[in-house]
Amino acid sequence: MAVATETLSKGEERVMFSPSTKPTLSLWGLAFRRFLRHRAAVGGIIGLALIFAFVIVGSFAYTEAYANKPDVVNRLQAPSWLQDPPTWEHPMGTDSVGRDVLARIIYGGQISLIIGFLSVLIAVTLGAIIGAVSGYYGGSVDSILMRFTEAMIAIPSLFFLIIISKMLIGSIPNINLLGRSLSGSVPIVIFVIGIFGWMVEARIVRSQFLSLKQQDFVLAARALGVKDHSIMWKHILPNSIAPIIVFASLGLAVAILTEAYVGFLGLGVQEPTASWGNILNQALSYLNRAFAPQDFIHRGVWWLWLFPSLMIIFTVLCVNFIGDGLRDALDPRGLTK
Amino acid sequence: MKRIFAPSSILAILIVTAAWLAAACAPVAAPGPAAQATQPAVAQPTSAPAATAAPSTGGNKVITISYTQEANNLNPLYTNQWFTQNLFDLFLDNALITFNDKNEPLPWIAKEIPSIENGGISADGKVITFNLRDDVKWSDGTPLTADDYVFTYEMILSDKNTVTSRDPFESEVASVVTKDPHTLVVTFNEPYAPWMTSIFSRANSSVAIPKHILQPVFEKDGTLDNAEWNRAPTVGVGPFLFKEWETGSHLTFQANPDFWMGAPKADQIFFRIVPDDASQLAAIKAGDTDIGVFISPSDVPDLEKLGTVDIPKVQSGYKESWYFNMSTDPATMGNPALQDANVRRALVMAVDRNKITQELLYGLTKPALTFWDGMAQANTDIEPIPYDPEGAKKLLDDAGWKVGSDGIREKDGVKLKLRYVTTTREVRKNTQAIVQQEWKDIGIDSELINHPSDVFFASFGDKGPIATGQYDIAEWSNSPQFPDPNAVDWLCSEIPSDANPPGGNWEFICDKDLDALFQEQARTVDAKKRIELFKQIQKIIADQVYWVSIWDDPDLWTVSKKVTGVKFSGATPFWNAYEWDKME
Amino acid sequence: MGRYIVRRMLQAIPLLFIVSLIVFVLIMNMGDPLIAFAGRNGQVKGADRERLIRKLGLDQPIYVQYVVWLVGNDWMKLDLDGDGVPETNGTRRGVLRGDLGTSVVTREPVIKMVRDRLPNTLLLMVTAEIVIISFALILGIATAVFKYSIFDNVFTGLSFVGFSMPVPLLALGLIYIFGVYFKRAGLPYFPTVGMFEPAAGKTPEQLVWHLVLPVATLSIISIAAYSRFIRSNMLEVLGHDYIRTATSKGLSSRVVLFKHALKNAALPIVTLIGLDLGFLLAGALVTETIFSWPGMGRLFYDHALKSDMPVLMGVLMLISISVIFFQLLTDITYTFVDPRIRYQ
Repeated sequence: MAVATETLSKGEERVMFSPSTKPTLSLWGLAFRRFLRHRAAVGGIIGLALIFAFVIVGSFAYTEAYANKPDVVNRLQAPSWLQDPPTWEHPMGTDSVGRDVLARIIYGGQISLIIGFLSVLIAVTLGAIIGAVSGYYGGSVDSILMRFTEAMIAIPSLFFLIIISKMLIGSIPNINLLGRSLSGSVPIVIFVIGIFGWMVEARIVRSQFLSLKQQDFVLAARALGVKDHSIMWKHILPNSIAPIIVFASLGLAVAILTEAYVGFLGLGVQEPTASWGNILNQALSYLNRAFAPQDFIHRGVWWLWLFPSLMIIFTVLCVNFIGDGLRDALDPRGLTK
Repeated sequence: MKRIFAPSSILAILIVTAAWLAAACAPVAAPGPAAQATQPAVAQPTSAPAATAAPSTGGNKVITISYTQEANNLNPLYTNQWFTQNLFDLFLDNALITFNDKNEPLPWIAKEIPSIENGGISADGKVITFNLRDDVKWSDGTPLTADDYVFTYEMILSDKNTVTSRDPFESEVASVVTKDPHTLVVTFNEPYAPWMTSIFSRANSSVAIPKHILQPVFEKDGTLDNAEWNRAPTVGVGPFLFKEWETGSHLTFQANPDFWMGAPKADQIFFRIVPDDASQLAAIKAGDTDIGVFISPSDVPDLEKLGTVDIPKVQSGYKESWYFNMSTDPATMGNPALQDANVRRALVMAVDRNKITQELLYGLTKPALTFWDGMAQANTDIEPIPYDPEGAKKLLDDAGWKVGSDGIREKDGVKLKLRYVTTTREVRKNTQAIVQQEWKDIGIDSELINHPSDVFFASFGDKGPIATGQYDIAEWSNSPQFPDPNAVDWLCSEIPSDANPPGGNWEFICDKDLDALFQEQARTVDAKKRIELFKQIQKIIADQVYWVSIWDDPDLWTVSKKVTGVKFSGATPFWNAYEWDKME
Repeated sequence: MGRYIVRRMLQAIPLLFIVSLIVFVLIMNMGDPLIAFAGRNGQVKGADRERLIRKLGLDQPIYVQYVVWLVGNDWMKLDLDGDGVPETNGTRRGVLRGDLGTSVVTREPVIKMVRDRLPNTLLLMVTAEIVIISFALILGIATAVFKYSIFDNVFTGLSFVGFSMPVPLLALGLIYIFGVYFKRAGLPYFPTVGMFEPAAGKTPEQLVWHLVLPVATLSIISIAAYSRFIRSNMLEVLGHDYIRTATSKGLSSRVVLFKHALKNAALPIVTLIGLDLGFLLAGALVTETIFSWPGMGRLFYDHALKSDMPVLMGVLMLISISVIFFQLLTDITYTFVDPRIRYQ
């Protein structure tokens, strides 16, 4: 008893009663208002905005050429404010060839975020379309799409990733975009993560559709002659939005992490183009020092893994809180109560 | 609605399992951050495994070696893998000639090293006679005789066996016959200078397989490819004998009390497969491994500070090298600038190679002067190419490569932009980054490309990026036929093409003088004359800047201070395993 | 239901066929197939290369090689001496007749290699999965019930730190802290790598002991994903009318939670777990590599580096079969968990 009343009394009580006083608000307007009441989600938005501001504003402070400029004599230096005398020359230290870690985190952040968002966009779109079509139409459409999904699922995506990366890495030349030179491995990583990330979501969306399409409101809509695509996208899909958002938010995190993970196998974003993953991977070669108790501050190379890890963790946390907030806000059942 | 509330077996199972597991598993597996805090307390009763807690004195001296790659096949005919070949020093120690830690040849199963003086080599250099020891027995008591070597030769050449390499038995050897059970006569088509490292020599692991075990298998199966002995060579000859191989986990060898030089001092050699370098390092630091292999230079300062291990630096002939794409064939050609020796020299002069070795490799090595450094054939008179960016600029200006409007040099509309290709190894990536900057400073643009090593080393036929000339500068580590100076990758006939897809001359060098000298040295059995030929070879390579070493690439090992008597050789690391001992 | 199962099994045949075809083409293009024969300088050259290519049948067009992989070559004559005249009988029987082929690297039958590695991987992965699911269930339900509480927020934060932790960093961190520094400090410590100490032998006690750190690694990174998923599903269910009905009719919170809410949240959870079960035998590539655990993930990765087609095909097909089996099992389980779903 206590459990249920507590859940109801906390966040949703106000929501339940406020619509009646403001009946003019649209569905999305309401969702927006509810989202704003979700403190963690708002925090997530602010956090993510800060990360974006950091990687964009930061690129005015440092040029990309600076981020890629080695200075081998000063390699693996601890953050300069810990040196004697303290300076702000390398606030996050230098990497294994003496490049400035802060500048690389800024430019690497751009790459990691681009990889994360674009690959998740590919994956979520594919997953929602395939899952919805399959679950709604059923029959032979479902059969074909699900066999295809199963074939893709049946091969562990990491294995796929290794095979495809090995085939493609080094095959795309550097890309010159807006005056910057990107390693050709970036689109490869986006493509590979994106096209192997949609299957689980498609299955979940399909199972939601399977269960929802036999519910009364769908049957009623169909009886009223509402068109299929309208039923699918306007009536059923919003009901599946919660798992899709949870998967997209986890998927973004997974994409950023996967980039780092394939880097461990030597197949991620190729230097000199920075990414949070490849900064982190450099640290792995010096980890024995990172865990050395003696003179940890200056020799521990903690700055090589700590800063990119913090960025990754912070991004993942923000994205997930936003996902939480969106789910609570978009849950259409909250409105009908 | 009622049906929704109907009890479901799955749900019940889930909850029951969860509850049971939460109760039963947590203390055993101790997972998760919360549980870890309690680990020390849980750990008490079973920690400190037997080896460390209770020193076993009862003749159980186990020497643990960590291996970052697993052996593939224990039959010498079926492997070319360095990790596997080392094992032959333990259980198949029947090379006629082996090499010690100074890389000097030692007569091993051969009683003496054949020479023209002692009549072992015929006057025309084509026939070599080996006199074998008569006191060596296989572990099942059967004597080791010249017949085993003849059988090995026949098996290598048999079309029915998928052997790894027939080199040089197929191309150079006319016959291998026995004169009596302990005399072996090898006849060559032409005099063959590198015989000591390739004919039944430990240097290339052409050791003999037991005829009495494998001949019946060959007759029965029609091939040795699937012989059980290949994976469980229970009959061997040497200081240690095969005991057990669990794939992916470990390989063990047990001391052979009947070894012909006396029983070895250790009781067991345990090879643990540790595929990750960083975990190998942790194991070395924890004392879980006695001998570590292929240590990264960046770890050496810390290991030295640790004080529990020695870190021998063993020369094995490998040099981290730059190769320039010298192809003149449009299909495989690189930037045309590379055809000019002065441009090649300028590329090298722009780079401070000493700084790279000092910083990236912690001063443990330095740029090698020649491909044969550390060997008797090295030409020490060669002048190293200095670090001189200003000189490099001048050379490029003189060669017609002038700085363009974008800061990049160009000539006749061609930009001096180079593809710098290597594998994905960390130290190579770091080198690339440094070199890219130094080239940029003198107006050379470069694109850094990294391939996984099997893609990088794929042949012309398999569209490997280097073999098909998809590079301007390539970096990899290479060695002559160490400890013999022979090398064939420089021959014009080895240039890969559609007509010769397996060719190994990936730098596409075809220099007539160099070609003639390389061919001549291989036929010159007289060691002194051969050294002179090699000195000329090195002069040409240095003058033409065909090849440049970024650094000399010795093997770094760790040996626990508890283990004594270890003397690694670059060619045959475990040659004196019978002398290894372990203090408790 | 019986007919449904039979139909799904029949559908699995073309499915496996498609999977094998895709994977085969990819693998045949991934690197030098002869790298396994190379010495330390990484190259196989000259006459040896030509002979090996012929001997391994790599000179054949790719579709012929696929057919040979599928149905074997003992019905055709091969030209092994390179004179252009086929003279030798093939010996391979093909996958359809139970011959997964022989590893190019080790010359060992693939089936045996897989059999050697599978128990190790299952030991690691099943232990980890049990730990993960039990923790995730407890934490997922607890965080849903006490949502937005301090406990929820703290745990959410912690689980994301675990989730975001790069596996190699976490694994090596655990090794250094509990394997190296605890030992040096004289504290009870965990072993660093391998499955057992050579002197102690492969005893159950040694195995459990060596399992702790790899299982901890796998758990820390995976608990978050599962528990967040469970939490979100629980939250959704807890918002439904029937829960309020159940609560208001006076049922105890325990009954409401476990009997009514969890049961309805179980469908997506079962889906997720069902999908993951099939992959258990794929092992954990990075964890196995770092802890030197001789499992399937490492088998795949080691042989992927050598482009060892028969092993890669064998491993991938085995995983595919297992995944397809568990998918079917999951779909059948749906009908028990959610009676609204019916299969014809």
